[in-house]
Amino acid sequence: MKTLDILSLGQESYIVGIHTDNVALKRRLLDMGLTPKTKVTLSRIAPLGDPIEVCLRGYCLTLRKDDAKCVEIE
Amino acid sequence: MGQNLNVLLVGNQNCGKSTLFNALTGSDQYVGNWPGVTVDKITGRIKHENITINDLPGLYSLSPYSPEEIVTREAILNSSDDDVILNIVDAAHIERSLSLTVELFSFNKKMVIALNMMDVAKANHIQIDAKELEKQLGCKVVTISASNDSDFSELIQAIKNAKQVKSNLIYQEEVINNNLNLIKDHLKIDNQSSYFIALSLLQNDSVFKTKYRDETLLSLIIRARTNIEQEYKIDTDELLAKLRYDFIANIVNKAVTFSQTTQNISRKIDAIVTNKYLAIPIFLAVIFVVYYLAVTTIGTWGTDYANDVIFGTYATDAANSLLESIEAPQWLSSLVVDGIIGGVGAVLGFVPQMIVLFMLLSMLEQSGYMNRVAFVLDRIFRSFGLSGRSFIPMIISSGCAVPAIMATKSIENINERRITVMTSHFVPCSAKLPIITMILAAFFNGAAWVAPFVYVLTFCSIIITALLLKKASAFKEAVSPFVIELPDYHMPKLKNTLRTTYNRCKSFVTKAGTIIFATVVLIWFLSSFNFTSNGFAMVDVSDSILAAIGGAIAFIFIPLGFYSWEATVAIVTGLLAKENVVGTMSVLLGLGEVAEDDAGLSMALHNVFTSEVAVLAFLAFNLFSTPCIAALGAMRRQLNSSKLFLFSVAYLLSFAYLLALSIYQIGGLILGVVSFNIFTVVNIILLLGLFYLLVRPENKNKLEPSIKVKVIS
Repeated sequence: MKTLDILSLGQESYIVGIHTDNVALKRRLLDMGLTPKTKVTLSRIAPLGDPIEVCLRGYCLTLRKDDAKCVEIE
Repeated sequence: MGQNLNVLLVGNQNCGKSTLFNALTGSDQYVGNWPGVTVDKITGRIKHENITINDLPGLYSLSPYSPEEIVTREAILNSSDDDVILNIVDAAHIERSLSLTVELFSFNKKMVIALNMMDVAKANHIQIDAKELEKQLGCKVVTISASNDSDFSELIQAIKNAKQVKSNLIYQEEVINNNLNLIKDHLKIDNQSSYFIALSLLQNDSVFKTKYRDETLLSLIIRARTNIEQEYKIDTDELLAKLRYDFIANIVNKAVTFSQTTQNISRKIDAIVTNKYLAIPIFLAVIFVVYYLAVTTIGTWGTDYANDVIFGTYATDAANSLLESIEAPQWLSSLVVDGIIGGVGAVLGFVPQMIVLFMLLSMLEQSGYMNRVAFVLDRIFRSFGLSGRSFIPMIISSGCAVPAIMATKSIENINERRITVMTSHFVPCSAKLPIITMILAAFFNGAAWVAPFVYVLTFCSIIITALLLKKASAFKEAVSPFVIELPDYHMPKLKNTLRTTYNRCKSFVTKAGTIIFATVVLIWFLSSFNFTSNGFAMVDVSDSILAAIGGAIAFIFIPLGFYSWEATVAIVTGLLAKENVVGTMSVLLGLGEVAEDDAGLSMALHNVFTSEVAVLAFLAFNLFSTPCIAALGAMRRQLNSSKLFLFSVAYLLSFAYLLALSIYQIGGLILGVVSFNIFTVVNIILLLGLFYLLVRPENKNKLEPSIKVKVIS
């Protein structure tokens, strides 16, 4: 399974689904628009390698790599 | 003017909500607290209108997982049918902004949309047809520029004429709608917002599940989700979010045109500010400027002026001459000058420095830079339960812990804020430096290793305390996951800056001021009076009640290597202000007021402390136990919980005691000045206990955070 954290800088992909038992995190990711078939681009990596920033739906979102691991991509 | 109208202001973070609120209400504001949570409750009134506005916390969704979200939901659910939701939508990020809007629709309330930042959207080549948006959403849309407009009459008119929106706009698919109706019918609640409750329950909403707990309902939810998942072959939560965003994408398609996407100015600034090599130097430079202005120059000048000139000279002189002219007894002049003026000065003296610091922080917050700090430094700080933003209070604390603790307000995450409150004052402030100088001169001949030794202790105290607290359940309150947006950079607004600074200073004076004032007066009383042969009267500090108490409890410090009522009293007066430690020591040792490196004082100290490890233990206890009373007052205010505050005081006393004990017993044993004794054993056991607390596995079972919020109904 490919996940959001493995994208390299500037790389695009499409979201497949969110897989986590952490209901708060899942709901948050969905509410921020990380829904199936959404196009995401990795736009920035923090100076220390984590967190990362992804762009989707005309805006950009930062999240930790651990949390990005829950997001399955194509 | 008619009946009073209640407006609930709801929007994302950084959408210009506070700016609009300030523009609409002016200075007619009231800051309070929502019951049970540390979320500010801000209400205001629109000038010349009978309209009350409730500024609800900035949020991205209405899930039940953070105090901000729950507070907002409760406020809407408990509002009356005539109340109006005013939803601010950020035109520059319209797609994501509308997600909250359509969630708000499900409350079935009267609603108006204020489309803000049209100028930013235009600069980003986004054209929005507000009329089309209004038609598609079925809700009045008013375009505004919260930061530039001065006339909001169209918006106010729209609020007065607000109409109820349609709640079931999005989920019209039969399977979903039928199941939602089943849940709704089962609930049998006569509430305008029953659709929202049903929709939340379908998403396993923990708050409503607890509220409407019954077996039939739970099985109904499970059946509904199974039905939906069989029909659509996708998880219910994912489906609902997807349908919502599909609905929005459809509207955006009709009402919004994006011309070529050039990199906007914020992205260009970010390319530098969050750059791999430049980010940390830039951050350090920003910290330096804040420190320079608040601690090295303007802020400290102001505070010194207030303490030395206003309270130290003018107020004292005026009171003295007034008291002399009425021939007041000595106890009365002492009460007024040392007790009351000293107490008020202890509170107000900090305000000039706070003004400078809060203005700078407010500008950094508004500009959007603080969000970048979190992004850049998250990696380093999160393992200690702190955030990049914790760094600022710690640096400020080297000047004074009081503004530092008040500055933690800018840390959003409540757990990180609390841990920062409890650790930042470990950094020795300027008032603690004379104690170090005194001991350096008396015992170590100015040895160069003492200062680094103190900073190593500081560093260890912060890390150990942060790691311990991170695992404590009181510091595991539910917070929004670290999934955040880096907002566009904004030019800070002077009006917002002044407003925030005023509110924060006021909260320090009113909330922290009382406890500071009371303690100053109490310690003044204890150190000035005692029973004498002539009855209860004023005495020198060495004959006071405080000295008697000091003598009675001095034995506590025997394991730390010193048994001296003078040192004990000095520790207590250090609570008022740490610079008192030196003064008290010299007065009690019969030297009067002398400089901290006075040769006579150095000699006298050798009679109190028999070894160097003992004096280091005394130093450590003074530096790392509870900070001065003003900082404690600030802590009480920022923790916003008596229980947590008492815990902090107890923790800090125990921590400093253990630290001092280890320096004397184990340090002394290693250096061969202290022999092995019963306290060495106790010390080792306590250290092993601490070590266990540090390495014990964290309880990770708690996947669903529970939030205790008093539901007002």
